[in-house]
Amino acid sequence: MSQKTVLLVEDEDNIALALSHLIGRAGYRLRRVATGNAAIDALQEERPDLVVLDVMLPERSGYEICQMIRRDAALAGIKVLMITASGGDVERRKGLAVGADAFMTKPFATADLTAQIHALLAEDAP
Amino acid sequence: MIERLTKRLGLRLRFALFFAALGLGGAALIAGALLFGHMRAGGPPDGYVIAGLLAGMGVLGLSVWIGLLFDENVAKPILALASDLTTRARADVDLQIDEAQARHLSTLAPAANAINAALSEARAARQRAVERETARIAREKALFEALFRDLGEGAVVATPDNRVMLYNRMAQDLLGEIGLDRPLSAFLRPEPVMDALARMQEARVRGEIGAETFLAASADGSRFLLGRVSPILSDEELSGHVLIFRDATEDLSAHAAHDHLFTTLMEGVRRPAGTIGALLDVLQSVDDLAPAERAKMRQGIEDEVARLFACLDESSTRHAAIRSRRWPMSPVAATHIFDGVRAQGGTHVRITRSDAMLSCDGFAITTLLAMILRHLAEDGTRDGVTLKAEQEGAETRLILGWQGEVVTDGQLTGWLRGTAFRGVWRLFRARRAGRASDRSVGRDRREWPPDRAAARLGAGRACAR
Repeated sequence: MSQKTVLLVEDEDNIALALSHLIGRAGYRLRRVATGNAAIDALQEERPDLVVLDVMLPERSGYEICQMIRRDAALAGIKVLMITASGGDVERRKGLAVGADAFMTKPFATADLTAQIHALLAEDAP
Repeated sequence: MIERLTKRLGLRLRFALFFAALGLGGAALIAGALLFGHMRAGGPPDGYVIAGLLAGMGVLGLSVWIGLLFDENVAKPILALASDLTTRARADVDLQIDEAQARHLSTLAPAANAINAALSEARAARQRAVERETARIAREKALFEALFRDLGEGAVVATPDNRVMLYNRMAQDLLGEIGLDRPLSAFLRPEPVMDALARMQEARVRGEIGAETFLAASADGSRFLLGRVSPILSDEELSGHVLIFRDATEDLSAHAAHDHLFTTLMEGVRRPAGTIGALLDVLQSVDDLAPAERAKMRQGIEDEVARLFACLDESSTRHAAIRSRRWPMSPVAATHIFDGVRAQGGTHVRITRSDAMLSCDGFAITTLLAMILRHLAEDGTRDGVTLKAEQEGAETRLILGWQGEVVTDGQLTGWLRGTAFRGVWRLFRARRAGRASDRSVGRDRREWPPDRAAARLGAGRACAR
C-alpha cells in the first residue's frame, strides 16, 4: 500500500514545525506550504490524500481553498481538516459548510490531531 | 292656531284681555237679565234701558280700573322681576333685585333675590375653582417644562400622525434638524419607531398600556438612538405619543469594541497556546530529535510565549482605552475640586493651581480628598500637606503630598471602610489617576496614591492577525 500524502497549509513556522514532526512520525508523507496561492499550486501539482488547512492564511483564506477543492472534480475525495484559532461555533459551522471533513480549534491536543488525521485517512482507505 | 297665538301673547296683554272679557261678559249678563225681566213684567222699556246702560257702564268702568291697577302692580313687576332674573342669569351681575318694585307680589321678590344670591355664590365658586385649576395647570406646566427642558434624555411629543408637537433641548442636540410640525421621519429613520408604535398599538388593543423600546438611527445615520415610546391617552383616545431617547452610539460602539477586543484576545491567545502545546508535545514525546531541531522548537516556544505576553499587554491597553472612552458626566476643572477641598476644611493644604480638566465625579473626588486630609491631620504626625494635579499625556494625576508618617494600605482601607467610598475606585475615573507613583519628595516626603505601575509584559509581535 502506498504512503498517504498530507498537505499542510500553515503560515506560522512554529506550529508548522510541530505539526510536520507529528504527521511525519505518524507515518504520512508531508508537504507544507505557507500561503493560499501556494496551496492551490501544490494541489495542482500533486493530489494529496488529506489537506490540513489553517483558516487564516496570507493571500487566500482556508475557507476559499476548501471551496475550491470541493468545486474541482479532479480533487474530489480529498479529505480536508481545518484548524483555526477562532473559537466561535460560527467558524466551525462555516468550515463544515464549505466542505471541510473535520474542524479543530487551537489550542488542541496533538494526540487528538493525529487521531483525527488517522480517522480521516482510514475512511479513505479502500 | 289659537294655541300659537296664546303663546305669543305677552303677560300684560293677557291680563288686559282677561279684564276686557270680564267687563264685557258682566255687561252682557246685565243686558240679558234686564231683557228677561222686561219680557216677564212688560211695560215701557225706558227704565230697563237706562238701568242697563248705567249698570253696563259701571261694570265696564270697574273692569278697566281694576285691570289698570293689576297691570301696574302685578303684571309690570312680574315682567321686571323676570327681566332682572334673566339679566343676572345671563350676565355676571351681582346686584340685588329691587324688592320695592314687587311689593305687591308677596315673597316673590325675596325668593328671586335668594335665587340670585345662590347663583352668584355658585358663579363665584366656579370662578375660584377655575382660578385654582389654572394655577395648578400653570405650576404643572412650569414643572413639566423644567423637567422636559433639563431632562438628560431627548424627548419629543408627537401627534398621532407622527408630527412633532414639542421637543426639548437634548432632542435638538441629538437630532439637530428637529422643528415643530415636522414629520418624525425627517430626523429619525422611521421604521424602528413605526414598529414600536405598532407594537404599542397592539398592546393597547390588548388593554396593556405601556412603553415600547426602539433603537433607531438618526436620519443622516450618524447617531443611534435608544429609546422608548409611550402613548398619550385622552378619554381613552390616542392623542399622541412621547418619545424619550438617548444617544446609544457610544454604547453600541463600546460594545462592539469590547466584543472585538474579546474575540481578538481569544484568537491571540489560542494561536500561540496551540503552538506551544504542539511544540511541547513533540519535545516530550520524540526522544530522537536532532539537537538543532530541538533548539529550533525551544526557540519557537519562546517566540510564542513572547507573542502571548504581547497579546495580553496589547489587550490590556485596548481595554483601558475602551473603558475611558465614555464617561457620562461633564468634565470637571481640577481647580473646582481644589476649591471644594478647601471649602471642606482643607484650608491648611498648599494647593498648586492647575488648568486640567478631569473626566470624573467631581463631588466624589472632592469628598474623598477631604476625608483623606482629615485622617492625615487627625493624629498630628503629618504636616506640610500639598495637593496638585500632574498631567501625563491624556491622563491627569491628583497627588496628595505630606511630611511625616507613611499611610499604609491597611490604614487607607480602614479610612475607606464604613464610608460611602467602598466603591470609590469605580468612581475614580480621572483618566487612570489611580496609577500614580509612590515617589518620595525629599526625606520623609510621602505621596498618595501609591504606585500601581504594572510590570510590562514582553512585547513583540502583534496580538492577533
